[in-house]
Amino acid sequence: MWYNIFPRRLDRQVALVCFGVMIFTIPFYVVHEAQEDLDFIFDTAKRETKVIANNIAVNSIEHILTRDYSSLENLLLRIAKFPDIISIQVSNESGQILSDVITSKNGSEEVQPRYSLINIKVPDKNSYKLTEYDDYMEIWTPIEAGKHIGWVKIKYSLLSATKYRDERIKNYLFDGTILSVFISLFLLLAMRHPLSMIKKAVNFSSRLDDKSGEQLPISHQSIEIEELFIALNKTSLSLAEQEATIKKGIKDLETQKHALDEHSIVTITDTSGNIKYANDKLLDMTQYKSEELLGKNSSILRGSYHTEYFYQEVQNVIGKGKTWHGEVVCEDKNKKRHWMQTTIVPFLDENGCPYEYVTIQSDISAQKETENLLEINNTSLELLTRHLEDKVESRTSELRKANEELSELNNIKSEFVSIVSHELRTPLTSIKSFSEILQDDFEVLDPDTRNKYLSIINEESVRLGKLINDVLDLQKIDAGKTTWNIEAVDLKRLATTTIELFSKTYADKGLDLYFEISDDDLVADVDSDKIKQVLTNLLSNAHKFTETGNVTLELKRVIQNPTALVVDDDETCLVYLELFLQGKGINVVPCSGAKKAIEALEDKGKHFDLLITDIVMPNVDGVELIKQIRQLDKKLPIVAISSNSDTSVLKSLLDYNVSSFLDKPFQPDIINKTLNKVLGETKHMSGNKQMIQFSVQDSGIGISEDEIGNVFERFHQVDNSETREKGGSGLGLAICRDIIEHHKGKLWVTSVVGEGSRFTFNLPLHN
Amino acid sequence: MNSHSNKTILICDDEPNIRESIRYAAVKEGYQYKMVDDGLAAYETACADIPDLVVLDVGMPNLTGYEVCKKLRQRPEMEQTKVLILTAFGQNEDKVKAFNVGATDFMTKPFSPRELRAKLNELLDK
Repeated sequence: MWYNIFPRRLDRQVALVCFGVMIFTIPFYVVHEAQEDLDFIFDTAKRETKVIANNIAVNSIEHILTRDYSSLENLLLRIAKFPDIISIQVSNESGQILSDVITSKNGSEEVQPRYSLINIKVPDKNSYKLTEYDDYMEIWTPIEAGKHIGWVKIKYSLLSATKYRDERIKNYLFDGTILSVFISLFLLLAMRHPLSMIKKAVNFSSRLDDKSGEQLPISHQSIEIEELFIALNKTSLSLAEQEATIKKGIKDLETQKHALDEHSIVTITDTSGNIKYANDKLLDMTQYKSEELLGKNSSILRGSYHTEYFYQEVQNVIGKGKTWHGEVVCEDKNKKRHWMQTTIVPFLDENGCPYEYVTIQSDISAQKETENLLEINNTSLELLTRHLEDKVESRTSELRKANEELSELNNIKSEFVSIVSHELRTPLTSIKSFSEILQDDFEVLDPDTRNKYLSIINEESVRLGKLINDVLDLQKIDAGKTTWNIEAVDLKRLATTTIELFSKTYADKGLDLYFEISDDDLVADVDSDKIKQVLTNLLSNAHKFTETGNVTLELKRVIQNPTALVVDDDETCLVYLELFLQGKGINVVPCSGAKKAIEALEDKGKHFDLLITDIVMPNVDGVELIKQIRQLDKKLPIVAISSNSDTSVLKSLLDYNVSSFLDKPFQPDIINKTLNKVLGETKHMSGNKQMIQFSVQDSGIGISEDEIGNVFERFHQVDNSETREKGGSGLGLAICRDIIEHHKGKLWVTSVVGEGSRFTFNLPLHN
Repeated sequence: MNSHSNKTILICDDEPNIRESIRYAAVKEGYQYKMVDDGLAAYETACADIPDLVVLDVGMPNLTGYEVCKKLRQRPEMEQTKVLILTAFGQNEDKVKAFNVGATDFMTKPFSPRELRAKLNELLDK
C-alpha cells in the first residue's frame, strides 16, 4: 500500500511531515512574495514611465512647436536609453508620427529612430492612458502647450520585471528547500534525544518482563518523558511487587503441591474423566506406569465394587461444581481393591463450569481392615459383654430369686412344719382319744359305738399315713429329689387304665363316669406314674365332691395360643398392641386401667402368659401396679411400657422381676424381639404349639369365687363342714400342680358353685 | 349320770371325730353340751345361750378360736364364762396368744380324754 512507504520511525515521520509541509507551503509563499515584488516593480515602472512620458511631453513642446524634429529625436534617443523602454513615439494631435524611437529587439541598448508616416490611432480622450499587455505596457501622455498638440506614446517592456520575479521565485524556492532540509535535519537532531529516551523507555518496558523492579534514571529534559519514566518506574515497582507475590504464591503452591503429592494420591482428570496428571503415589498404589494412565479414562481404576449409579451420583455433585467427599474402592493393575478416602475438587472456569477435576485420595484400606476387625471385635466384644451382662443379670436375678425363694422357703418351711405338725396332730388326736376311750370304757360301750370308734381310729390312721406320704412327696418334689421316669406315653391308655380303677367307686356312689377322647395318637413325654397320680387325684376329688350326676374325663389335642393381658390408658396404643399381638397369634385381653387389670388377674378362670402394661397412667403408680401384680402372680412375665421413665423407676421395676421394657412410640421389630425374649423364656408359655389337654368336669358342689384362688395351695381345704368331712390332706392339688408344671404344662380350674368344677391340665405333645 | 348335769359345755371343733371325743368326755362327766363346727356358729350359739364352758378349737372356718374368744370376752355377760382353748398348735406362743385373748385355760392336741375330763371338772367344779 501507499502508506507502506511511509517511514515507521517517529523521528523520520516528524522530519518527513515537516519537510512535506514546508515543501508544500514554501511555493505559495514564494509566489505570493514574488507577485508582490512584481507589483511593486510594476508600480515603480508605471510611475517612472509616467514621469518619463511627462518629461518628454514637456520637453518636446518646444521642439514640436518649432518643428525641430531632430532635437526631438535626440531627446527621444537619449530617453530611450532608459532600460526597458521598447519604443517612444511622439505624434501630433491627430496621430501623425513626429518621431519614433525603438530599442533594439535583441535587447541591446542601441536605440534607433524609426521613420514612419503611418498615422497611429490616438486615444479618444485627451488624457493620460496606460494599457498593460503581457510583456509590455503602453502609455499615452497628451502634450499640452495651452492646447493639445500631440501625444507621447511609450512602450515599456515588462520582461525584466518578470524575469526578476522569476529569479526571485527561483531564489526563494531554493532558499525554502534549503531551509526545509535544514529544519528537517534540525528536527531530526532535536528529536534524537527524546526519541532515544522513548526508545530507552520502550526497551525498559520490554525488559520489565524479567527485570521488573529496575528503575530508569529520570530524564528531566521534557515533562512528558519524565512523567513517562516515573510512570514506568512505578509500573516496574508494582510489577516487581506483584511478581514477588506471584512468585511466593507459586512457590507456596509448589510447596503445597509437593506436600500434597507427598501425602496423598493426586489425580487430575478432564471433564470426560481422562487422566491428565497422576502423581507418583497413585502410580505406586495402582502399579501402573505413568504412560499407562495418562490420557486414559479414570474408569480403568474403578473396579467392580461400586455400581454405575454410585459414580453417577458422584458425577452429579462434581458436575455442579461442588466438592465431593467420600470413600471409594479402586482396583489396581493386579485387581487388588483399595479403600480410598477421596475428595474430588472441580476447577471452575469463569462461567463456573468445571474444566477439570482434582482428585485427592488416601489409601485407607489398612484402616478399613482395622475398622472391620475392630468392628468384628467390637461386635464380638459387645456380644460377649451382652452375654456376660445377660449372664450376670440372669445370675443376679437367679440369685435374687433364689434368695427370695430361700427366705420364702424358710418362711414356708417353718410355716409348713407348723402346719404339718398341726395336720399330723389332728388325726393323731382322734386316734389317741378313741384308743384311750376304748381302753378305759371298752366294757361300758355298746358294740356299735365300739365299732364306730375303732373305725375312726382306722380312718384316721389311714389319713395320717396318706398325709405323711403326701408330705414326703411334696418334700421330694421341692427338694428336686423326685425321680422322674420320663418316656413317651400313650395317654389314651393311661387315661383308660386310670378310669378303670374308679369305675367301681363311682358306680357305688351312683355316679356316671364318662371318658371322651377326640384324637388318637396322643403321645407325650411324661412320667406315667405321676400323671396317673394327678388323674387319680382329680377323679377322686370329683368323686368326693359330687353327689349326683356325672363326671367326665375329656382328652383332646389343642393348639394353645398364649394370652397376653395388655394394660394401657391410651386407647390408640391399646388397639395397636392388640392388633399387633393378635397378628402374632397371641390372644389379647385389653384393659384400659389398672383396676380392671387387677380384676382380670384375680379371675382364676383366666390364665395369662404375659402382661404388657404401661407404667405411666393417670391415678395409678405404675410401680405400685406391678407390685400388686407380683403379689397376685409371682411368675407372670411382665413387659413394662416405659415412655420417658427415669432410670430409678426402671431399676425399681427390676426388683419386681420385670422381664423387659418397651418404649413409646412402639417399634414393631423391638416388640417382636421382646415377645420372642419374653415368651421364649416363660415356662408357662408353650408357644403356639400343640398340647394334649385333660379335663375333669364334675357336677358337684363347685368352688366359690373366694376359694377358687386357693385350691392349689398346700393344706388348703375348702373350708366348710361338708368338705372337712371328706377328709384329704390338703396337699393333693398342690402336688398335682407341681407335677404338671414339671412337665411344662399347666393345671387350672374353673367352677360354678352348685353346678360343678372343671379341672384342666395340659401337656406338651410328643414331638 | 352324775351331779354336774346342770352345767353346759359348748363344744367347737371342725373335725367331727374330735368333736365326738370331746362330747364323749363331757357326757361321761355328766355335763350338758352343744356342738358347733365353725367359729361364727360358736360365737352366735354362745351369745344366744351362755354356756358354762366353751371348748374352742383354734383352726376353724369363718372365725378362729382366738377370734371367737376375743369377741366373747368383749361382751360383759361373758366375762365369767370359762373358755378352754384346745389346739394342735402346741407352741408356747400359741399358749400366750390364747391367754392374751382371754382364754381361761389351754390344752394341746392330741390330748388324753382322761386329762380333758379332769380339766373340764377343774374348770366347772370350782
